[in-house]
Order: sequence, then C-alpha cells, then structure tokens
Amino acid sequence: MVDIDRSVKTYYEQNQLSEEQLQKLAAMQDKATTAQQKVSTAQQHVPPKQWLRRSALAVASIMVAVLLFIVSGQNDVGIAERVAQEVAMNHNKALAVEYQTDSYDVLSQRMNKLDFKLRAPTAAFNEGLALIGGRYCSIQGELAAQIKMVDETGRVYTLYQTRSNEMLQVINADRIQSAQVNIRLWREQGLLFALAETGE
Amino acid sequence: MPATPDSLHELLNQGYRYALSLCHDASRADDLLQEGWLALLQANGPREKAYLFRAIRSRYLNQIKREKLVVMVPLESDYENNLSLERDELSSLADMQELEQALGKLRPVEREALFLHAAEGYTAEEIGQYTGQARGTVLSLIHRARHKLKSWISQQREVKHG
Repeated sequence: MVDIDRSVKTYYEQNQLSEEQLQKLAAMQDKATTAQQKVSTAQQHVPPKQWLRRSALAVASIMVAVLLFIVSGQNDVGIAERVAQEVAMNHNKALAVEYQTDSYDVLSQRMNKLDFKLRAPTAAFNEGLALIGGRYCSIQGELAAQIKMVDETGRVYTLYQTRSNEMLQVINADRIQSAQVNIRLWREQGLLFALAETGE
Repeated sequence: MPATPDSLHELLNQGYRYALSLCHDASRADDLLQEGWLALLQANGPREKAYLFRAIRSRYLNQIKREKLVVMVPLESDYENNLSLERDELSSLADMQELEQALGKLRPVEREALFLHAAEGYTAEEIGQYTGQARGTVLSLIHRARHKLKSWISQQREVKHG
C-alpha cells in the first residue's frame, strides 16, 4: 500500500457516525424487525401455498363455469330477441302475400325453394286462425316462410317457419314483445315457429 | 437477520464512510446512509456491507441524475506537471484537513474507487465487478486519484512555503 492510500484509509476511519446517529439507525432496524415479525406471524395463519393454489383454481373454475352459463344464457336470450325483433319488423311491414291459398299443402308446394315442408302449427297455436297465404323471407339469414293468417275478428297474424339450424336451436319456447308486437316462439319437428300479432 | 449492536455500528460506519467517499459531504453522506439503510430494511435484505453499499450507491446515482450534480473537476490540466511531492514525503499527509480538501477535488468515481481500494481493501477486479467497470478503468481511476491528491497537496505546500 502506498502512503497516500494509508492516509486515505486513516482519513475515512476518522469519520464516524455520532452515537445519536447510530441510535437513530439502530431504531430503524428494530422498528422494521418488529413489523416483519408481525407480518410473519400473520402469514403463519394463512393456508400453505399449495392449498392457496388449489383454492384459487377451484374458485377460478367455478367462476368460469358461472360465466359460461351466464354467457350461454345470454346468447340464448340474445338470439331469441334478435329473431323476435326481425319477426316484429317484418310483421309491421305488413307486406302482401305472394302465394295466396288457404291450404298449407298448397302453399308448401308453391314455395318449393324452401328446404323443408310447411306445416300447420299445432292446435294450441292455430286455433281460430285462417291461412291467407305466404311469401319468402329470412330469419337470421335462414330462408323462411312468412305466412299471413287472420282470426275471426279480422285481426292479422304473421307466422314464420324456418329450419332450426345450429344457431336457432338454442331458442326455447318463449313469449317476447318487440316493437309493440307480441311474439310467441316455439319449436315443432325440427322447425322454428314464430307467431306475431300486433299488441293491444 | 438483524445485526448485533457492535457489528451493526461497524456496518453503519462503513456505510457512512462509503457514502462520504461518494459525495464528500458529511451531511449528505448521513442522508444517503439513512436512505440506503431504510431501503435495505424495507426489502428485508441482508444486513451486509455489499448490500448496504449497493443501496447507498443506487441512491447517490439517482440523486446525481436528478440534480445533475456530476462534478467534473479538470485537475489534470492544472496539476499534471506539478509532481514535486515525493513518495517519502507522503508520511506528512497526517494533516487530514489538507487531505480532506484534496479529496474534495476528486471526481466522485475517482474518490469512490480510491476509497474502496485504500480503505476497504477491495481489488481493482472486485471494484470493477461492483461498479460495473472494467478492471483497467478502475486501475486508471485509482491511479489518477492518487496522482491528483499528491499534486494538489504538493501545490498547496509550495504556496504555503513560498
């Protein structure tokens, strides 16, 4: 070691913290140690990490399942409502029929572009209604028949029939009101039916 | 792991001296030590010299960046050719006030390197690893620091003695 180094070492060794400064810094350590001990004690009551992971996984799985259920339900509701809106819009347009007939068989023969056979709805939905005729339309992009019917009072009803594809399959029997039109949705023999009537 | 009182005091004094080597100001060194010490405690880091020094250095560098306090003292130009102080005269450097003034003329990086080498006994290789500098750079810093100290003290003595 050269002399200048020894002098530098001596110089720095002469520089020391005062007792007051040392006490202050030591107190900081005591305070920090106490705080860390409290944290450590609290952590001892927490389940081991493995259990935490398992619990977190279980909670996450449940949340995902609930979310999927909700989303799935929302999709069902969403597509049903979209169909109802489309049906209501077409019903309100009150377009004239292209194929006039009082027979479902005749109408089905004339509307031969449909890839399904038109059928009269079950009595529960057809009671007191008389067929006037029909025209082509679409429901959610699926080719459909728009059938006009009237009841004994002359009140006009519009019946829609389409093949129940993958998207429309999720629709359950339902009653929906859209644009002041009452719509009943149901399913028969692989077809989706929608019956619309203007609300009171 | 808390340090024992004696080792704690020694550790804190080492930290203080290191901070002093960086900033060359007692009050500021005290602040640097306190900030570094607090950071070490909050991180529950080892109460060891290397960790404390690193915490202090980090804060010092942040201060420099923030305050732009990098002091570049071009001593070479003034004292490069004034090496009248011979090695056998260095024993008279007992005048610590004179040395303190001389240390204040060094760049912080030079003072730090000289402190770590002369006072803490680290090799140039170790200092280089710690400060992120090449060994050759550290050796150069130490050499220049010694050279500047000798030059400045020599010049001061010449002025005093006419």
